[in-house]
Amino acid sequence: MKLFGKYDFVVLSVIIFLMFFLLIVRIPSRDSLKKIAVEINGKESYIFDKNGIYEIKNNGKKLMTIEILDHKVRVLRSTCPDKLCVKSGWLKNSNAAIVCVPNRIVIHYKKFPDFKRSGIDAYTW
Amino acid sequence: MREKYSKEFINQRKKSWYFTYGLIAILIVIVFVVSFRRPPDYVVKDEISLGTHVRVVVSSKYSGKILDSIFREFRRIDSKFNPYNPNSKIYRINHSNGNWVEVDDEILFILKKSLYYADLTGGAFDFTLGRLIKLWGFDSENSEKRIPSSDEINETLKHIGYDKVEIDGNKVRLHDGVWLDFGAIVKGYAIDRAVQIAKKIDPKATGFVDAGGDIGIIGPKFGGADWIVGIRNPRGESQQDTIGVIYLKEGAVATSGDYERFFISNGKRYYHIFNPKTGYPAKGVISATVVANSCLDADALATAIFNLGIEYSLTYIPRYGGQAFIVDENQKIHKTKGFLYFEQVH
Amino acid sequence: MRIKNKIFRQVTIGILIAIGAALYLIESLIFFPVPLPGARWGFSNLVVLITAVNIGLYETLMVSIGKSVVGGLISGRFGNIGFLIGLVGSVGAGIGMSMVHRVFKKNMGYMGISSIGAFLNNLIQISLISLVLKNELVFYYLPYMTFLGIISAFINAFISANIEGRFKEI
Repeated sequence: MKLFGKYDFVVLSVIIFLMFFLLIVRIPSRDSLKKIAVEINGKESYIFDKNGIYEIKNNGKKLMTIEILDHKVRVLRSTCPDKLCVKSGWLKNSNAAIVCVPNRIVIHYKKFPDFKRSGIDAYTW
Repeated sequence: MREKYSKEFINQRKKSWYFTYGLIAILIVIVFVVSFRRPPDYVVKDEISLGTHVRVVVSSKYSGKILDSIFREFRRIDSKFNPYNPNSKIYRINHSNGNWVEVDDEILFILKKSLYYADLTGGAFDFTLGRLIKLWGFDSENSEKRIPSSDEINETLKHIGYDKVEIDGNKVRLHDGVWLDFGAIVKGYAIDRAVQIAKKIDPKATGFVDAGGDIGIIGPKFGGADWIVGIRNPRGESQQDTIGVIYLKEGAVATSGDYERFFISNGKRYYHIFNPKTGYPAKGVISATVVANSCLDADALATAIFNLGIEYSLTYIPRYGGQAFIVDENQKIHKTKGFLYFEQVH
Repeated sequence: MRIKNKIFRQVTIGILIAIGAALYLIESLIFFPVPLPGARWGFSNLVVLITAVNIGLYETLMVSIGKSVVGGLISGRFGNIGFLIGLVGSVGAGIGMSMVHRVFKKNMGYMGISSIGAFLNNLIQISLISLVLKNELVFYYLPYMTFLGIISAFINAFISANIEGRFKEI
């Protein structure tokens, strides 16, 4: 079999199109109300918006240390074996996240919803 | 060169393809089942009950039965607890001339709950304001609303006080001509009952019950998402003008505001939540929203905040099991720390 | 490649697994710009690609599982969450590549099959991570992984096409 067949370029262009589509879909939004949220096991456990070095604990067990500086965040130390979260460096893009799968931690920006535009189901008055 | 392959090898080859086809078929079936086994659509029903607009939104296989039962329950509670309707049980208790009256478990429950909250808040929540409410004309939409003279108010204040209610077993006695008015709590109770009924008929039902802006959640939207509840701006043009939004999957929220029932005289606003010590409408707070596990609790606490004051409420409402969002008379918003939890999607 | 008997087939699978495991070890030492567990360059998918195109589905499954398990054991990642995610991704890619080859036959070359495999691998990995973390933000990395996946898919396809001739001589 050859390196390229009849449909190879179709497949390639579809994949490349998908790639660009995904890139465009998540252009960073200019949301000013951004805070840094830390999820453990899918549960939001911390919200930070001030500079500083914070410890992330779960059930009293220290899992990682993060640093927040001017709306950026990075992991300084972590108890996970592969340290991918430390290696990923500063998180700047509001649509990205730092993940630590062994500790089940996700660090991401939390946009506080603009309720005027969101669909409200009911009113309390 | 196919003939050179052994039979066993060809069989194995076929088997691996069957395996893959099976796997993909299972995946497709799972996707189909997940996407087609959606819960039934939401059914909405509106009715006027308890003197307000009641809306029930429910998704269930038995939504018709649930809606009927809930509205029947609302009508029952309305006729039983309206203290100004001569046919209601509460009216009979209020007009018993200080004699012992036998009451059923439901009234006893409401009475004990009310006493509990009255004790807990040191009288900030008071359910014995019947005469005061009647005096100001807030007992019904049609009553003439007016500012009573201070003599009238002082006279009426003698017939107020939760300490003048005596309970013995299943009997109640009211001293000093006190009138019960469970208006601040009965709406919450009815919502709790409605949620209970829905869950009893179909434990898988989801939706919410909204009675005059007090909301009890039956179950999360589409089985998993939050219900988005806007908090009304107390000085907004309409109910849809919001100053905040909360996300609820369960529990209840209740709001009390000075805009619900009021009249304006000489540019001053007089409304239906009274300070039991002065006999005049409470001051300092114009709207209080409380999120709690049960709507009865939320309702009672939201009313109590008007007399508790903002500082005290921010400290103590969480200890009573609620989280509060309070707007003061300068339209400044005060929130308990835990309220932030409900302002985000989880 | 003609596989005449059981022993020959087992030896072939063994060799392919060994090569795959070696590539797995090497690629886990090379820096990969996306910080997700189980995300690697994917050079070890070379053996999966060769197997899928030249041998068959059964062997592809054996090779993709085998090279992940052996590679995981050698690199010390065996049993890790990243390892498991990589394993499922590589098996999924193997099945996908076999199917594409079976459907398109000669109309699809190595490059097409390889890039489909790489894309499937990335998609499965990110979906699994998203499931484990209950967070969909990880999909942010999908386009980057797709881009890097196309590069390694091209390298894999190029190598496969060039050694195919030598394969025939066996």
